[in-house]
Amino acid sequence: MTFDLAVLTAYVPALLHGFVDTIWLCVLSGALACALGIALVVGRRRGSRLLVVLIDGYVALTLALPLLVLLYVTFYVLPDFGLLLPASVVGVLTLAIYYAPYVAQVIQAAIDAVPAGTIEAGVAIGMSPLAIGRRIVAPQALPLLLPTLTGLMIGLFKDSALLSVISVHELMFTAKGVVSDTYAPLEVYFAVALVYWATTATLNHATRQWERRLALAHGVALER
Amino acid sequence: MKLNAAPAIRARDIVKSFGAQRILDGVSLDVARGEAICILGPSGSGKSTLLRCLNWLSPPDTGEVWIGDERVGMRNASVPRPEREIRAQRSRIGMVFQSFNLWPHMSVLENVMEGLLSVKRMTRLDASDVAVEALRRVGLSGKHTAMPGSLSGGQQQRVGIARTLAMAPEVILFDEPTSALDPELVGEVLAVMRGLADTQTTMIVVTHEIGFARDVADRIVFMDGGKIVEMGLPAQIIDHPSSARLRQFLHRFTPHGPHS
Repeated sequence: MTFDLAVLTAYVPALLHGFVDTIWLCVLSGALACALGIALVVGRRRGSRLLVVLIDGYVALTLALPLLVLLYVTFYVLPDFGLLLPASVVGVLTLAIYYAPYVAQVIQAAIDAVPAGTIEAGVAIGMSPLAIGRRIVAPQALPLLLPTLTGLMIGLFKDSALLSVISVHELMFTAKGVVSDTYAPLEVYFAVALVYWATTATLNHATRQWERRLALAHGVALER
Repeated sequence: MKLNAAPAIRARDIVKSFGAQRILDGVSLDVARGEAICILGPSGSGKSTLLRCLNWLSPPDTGEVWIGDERVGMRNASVPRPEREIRAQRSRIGMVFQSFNLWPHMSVLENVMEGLLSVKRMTRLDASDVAVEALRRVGLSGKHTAMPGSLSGGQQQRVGIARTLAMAPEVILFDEPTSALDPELVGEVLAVMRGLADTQTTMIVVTHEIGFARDVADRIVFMDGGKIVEMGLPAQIIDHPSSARLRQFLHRFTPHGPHS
């Protein structure tokens, strides 16, 4: 058995392309998951009883399903109901749908950790709910939110490799193609693993820095 | 006598229950412009709940609150005001909290400016001028850039007072403003409040500081069991209490009492 990374040389552009696609897919589904997560939090707080029941049902269902199962359901079952979408769209939507309840939980926990008295002071002085959210809740919740939210986004990034099973053109899918061309799974998957690791580590480091800056700017002490 | 004719704030037959518990059982109170009222009473007597009814933080079940000639929270007996109007009314009624409730992510100056910016829609320049003056009045001119967490409890409460003062409210409600403070820090906060009373600020102070109430209050209200039991001039209330409940309450707070 040999280990010769040189076999990859010809495939670097293809792999790079796959990586860029992965990043795009993750940015899109991450942003969607956050938007949907915020909508879930707001809907649960201010929505009608029916909406709350619907949201709770959705959250309970997604939290109970493995991502792979959800992915197969959306990809293979939806077309039976006449909904035929491109694989990348299905992939992005499924990741967003799967991660939104987790994002909602994390946001909810951060909001709950904001001292009630600081919100009451805003109400008493005559601030609107929007102003209270923007000026009082968000700045206090954000430093609490960031570490857990990054953890989730790193999870989403890693899970995006699963999209290869529904033939979404991303890094893992590209790697599979390269393996079938070169018969060099060791080198290919070694390189791919390295890329996932490096990206995750960079994300981790960047949030650490951001957190520190936020904490300094807001005079909030990080407890660790 | 420093009192003017028209009441600054009026409460009529306020009733408030939480579940089966009736916290306020028909409380009526008129506070004249420039008047300082102290409310005394054992814990659970409904003092804090009364303050929270006055600014509609906790709307009463029945009864009326009036600020000037405007009814608080309601357009008339059956039609509630829209939130927007209630917010405008709250901005005219200041509140100082027992636990300060400063915004920990803003500097002292920003804490005092926030209401001016997001409620009164002042420019940053104007808001800053007003905030600087409010902080001067509470003796914290040197602390503009400090974060609340770096201040002593007494200083934090003075920021809380400045935050309210800056809004130029028609009445300020103080909810046990010194109860969360170490004993040695109580004096500086009471001194600031005394200064406000001396300059004819309309204030309603829920407090356990009998000495402050006697010196500063124009009238003292004694509450027990969700009702006003006695109301009158400090000398009359503290030195000549007419009800057994007030005598019993005062006994616990006098220097010779068991809990002095």
